[in-house]
Amino acid sequence: MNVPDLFSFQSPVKIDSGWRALENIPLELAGSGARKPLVLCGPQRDGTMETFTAAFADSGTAVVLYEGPPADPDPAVLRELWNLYRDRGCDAIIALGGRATADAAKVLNIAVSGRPEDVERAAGGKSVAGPLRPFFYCPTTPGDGRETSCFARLGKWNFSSPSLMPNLAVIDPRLLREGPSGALGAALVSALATAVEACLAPARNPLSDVYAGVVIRLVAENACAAKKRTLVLAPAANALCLSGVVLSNTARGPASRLAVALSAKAPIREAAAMAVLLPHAAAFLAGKHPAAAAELLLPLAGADAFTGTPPGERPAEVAPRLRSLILALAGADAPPASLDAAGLSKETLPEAARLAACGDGGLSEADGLAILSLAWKGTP
Amino acid sequence: MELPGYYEFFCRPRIVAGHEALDQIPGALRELRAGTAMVVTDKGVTAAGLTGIVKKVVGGGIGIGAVADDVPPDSDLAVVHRLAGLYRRKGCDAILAVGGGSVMDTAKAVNILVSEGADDLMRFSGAGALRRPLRPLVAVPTTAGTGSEVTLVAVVKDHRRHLKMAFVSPHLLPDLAVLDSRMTLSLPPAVTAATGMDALTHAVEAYYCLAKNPLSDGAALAAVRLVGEHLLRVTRDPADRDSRLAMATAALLAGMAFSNSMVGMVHAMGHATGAVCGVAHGVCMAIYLPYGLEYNLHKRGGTMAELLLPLAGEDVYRATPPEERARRLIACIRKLNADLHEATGGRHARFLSEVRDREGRPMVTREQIPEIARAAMGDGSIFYNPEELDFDDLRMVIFAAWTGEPLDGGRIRRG
Repeated sequence: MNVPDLFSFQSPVKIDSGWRALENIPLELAGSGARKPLVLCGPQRDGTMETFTAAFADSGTAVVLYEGPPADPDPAVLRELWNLYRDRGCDAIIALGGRATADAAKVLNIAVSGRPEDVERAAGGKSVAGPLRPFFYCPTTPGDGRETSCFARLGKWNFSSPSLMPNLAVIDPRLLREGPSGALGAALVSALATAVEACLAPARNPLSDVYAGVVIRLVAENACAAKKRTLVLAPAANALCLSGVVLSNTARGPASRLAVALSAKAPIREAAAMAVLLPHAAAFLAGKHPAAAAELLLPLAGADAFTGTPPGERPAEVAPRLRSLILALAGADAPPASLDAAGLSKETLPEAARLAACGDGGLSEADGLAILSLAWKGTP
Repeated sequence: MELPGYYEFFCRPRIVAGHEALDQIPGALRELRAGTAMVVTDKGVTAAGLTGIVKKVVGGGIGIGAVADDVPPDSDLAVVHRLAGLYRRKGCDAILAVGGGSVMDTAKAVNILVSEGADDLMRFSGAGALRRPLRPLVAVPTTAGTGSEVTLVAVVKDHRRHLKMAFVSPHLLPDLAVLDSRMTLSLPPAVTAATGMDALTHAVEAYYCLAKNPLSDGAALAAVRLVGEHLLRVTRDPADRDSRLAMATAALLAGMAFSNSMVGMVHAMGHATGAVCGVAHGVCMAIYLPYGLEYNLHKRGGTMAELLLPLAGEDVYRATPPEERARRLIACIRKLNADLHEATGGRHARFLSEVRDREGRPMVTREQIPEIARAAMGDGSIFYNPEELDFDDLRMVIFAAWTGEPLDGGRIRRG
């Protein structure tokens, strides 16, 4: 196991996961010195809201509900939320929903922990002075893992600070829904990509390997298409929450950078681009870091397949395993076999590679273009 | 990977590890808005020259208001009060705990008093009495075993009133856990071996006992692998700083695992043996671990088998049929104890009758076994053990561990 000469890792997110986890919230609030949370609820249905509020019934905890922050909340919504928080005397924030709700809660937390002006300053790159007010996250729909991360987005603003990470993720199966068609598969590919790229990153360390390995195992061991989708919702929510911690501790890898760049420059969604790119990016990274790729096969394939594969062949085994796993996760919504099959013009690739490139020994433009070219052809 | 019906996992401290990780402390403390630290440690740490290293490295970047290096081996209420007074008089705003379990417990308890502005520690005993973040606390372990740099518990004795107080709160977790290979380089081989087996026991019990979860499993597997790769190596070559760092990392990972999943009968018997006979915790863990595995084998053999690959490596794993892997794991742990016994010139005890004090006298007599068994019955760890144990079961297991003979399978309870 690789132990670098110097490394650091941080996971301020506590996980409460399982049946009746919601009922723990009043106790968790009390342990944080809070008594009156503002609850931001994304679009809910099927009695989710009733389940949530019933969990507080006997606790004596007052809850202030705000239903329906828009999918892409803007600064005006933030002002409204700040007023509500202040006027009703709230002292904590709970986000009940997915990515947009979590983002709104994180940014609101900057405002209510200091002043509303702090938000614009933080968006401008100034550090967020922590610790912020207690912030709990309860997933209801598959997000993309960034809900528990140190990142947030509000309109055109982007934020990054460990202080933004939730203090607690409450994963209660009664709240979890599959979401729109394809959302669960896309979310799990996103979590998988974060974890795989962390394991193959030059700065990986034993702690990031542990968290990333757990994400990969939760995804790989629950991807079986024969299972009912509802049975994988809790493992999936666990994997997604943990992937946010991994994401906060490692630099973004090539698949992640290229998927974002492609979706900005070409008519393809980030999730679809990621599904095509990840095996190719992993193959590229396996060539650069064969020892790390060989170890990645263990969480991906399990102990028996790992030990049954000759050591020299393990790095090359990673990409095909990932490809099969992504197909299993997608189910009926199979991703395109290549960027070409997705309808992308080859001319868009250099621009995307330019956009995705970064300095500091990260992804070079040439390497990015090489990965994109392979993904365009779909050549394993 | 089993997802239990319900679980909680929390490991808040920012972890910084490396051969020169101490250098990161001043910057981290400034980020926590602290400017003057009190160093809490013990005389052994100072005598080993470690307090000097910390003062030199950390003192170059941040003020050191006081150095308290007289924490006793059993954390004590009077000491906690005295150190809280020192902290206040010297205008400190952070604590730098450098040492083992007792130092960490003392530092956590001092932090309660100075953060809450309180004089009565008892008011905060038990679980959940703390409701807000405490002042900055940095933990620098000087052994690779306890994992107390990432645990949310502190135990403090009141020697005057013969009381033992436990404090449990996520707010007790340090803000920063710093693993620096320089802090364990001078550990003698026998202490290295025993504390390393303590870490292994945390990981193994966390993995096969009843309150496991995906993250405790992940941390436990990684800890077992690091112990398998480095413990014997570093016991034979104490100056191997890469293995020192690997073992410090293993201990932290094992601490993460067990503090989020609990431990079982090995710890119950170990705590009891420590209390009755004064045997060091790591020594007890090394001796009892194979017996805990044997006793629970019929219930958790499949889970135990998964630990063979990280501990023994892939050649052993591949060569062992699946149904024999759990027994092979137990054999590997016995072999590790035997190898450590040899590597320490016989100082690493393999069974209880082999444990000697400094004068070479046996520390555990056969007559004390019933008393140890009785004390173990009252230990909370026993509730998380997969198979039930009563007084006779414990006496049988402890006697086997005293002689060094494996358990008689026919006498193991099958509940």
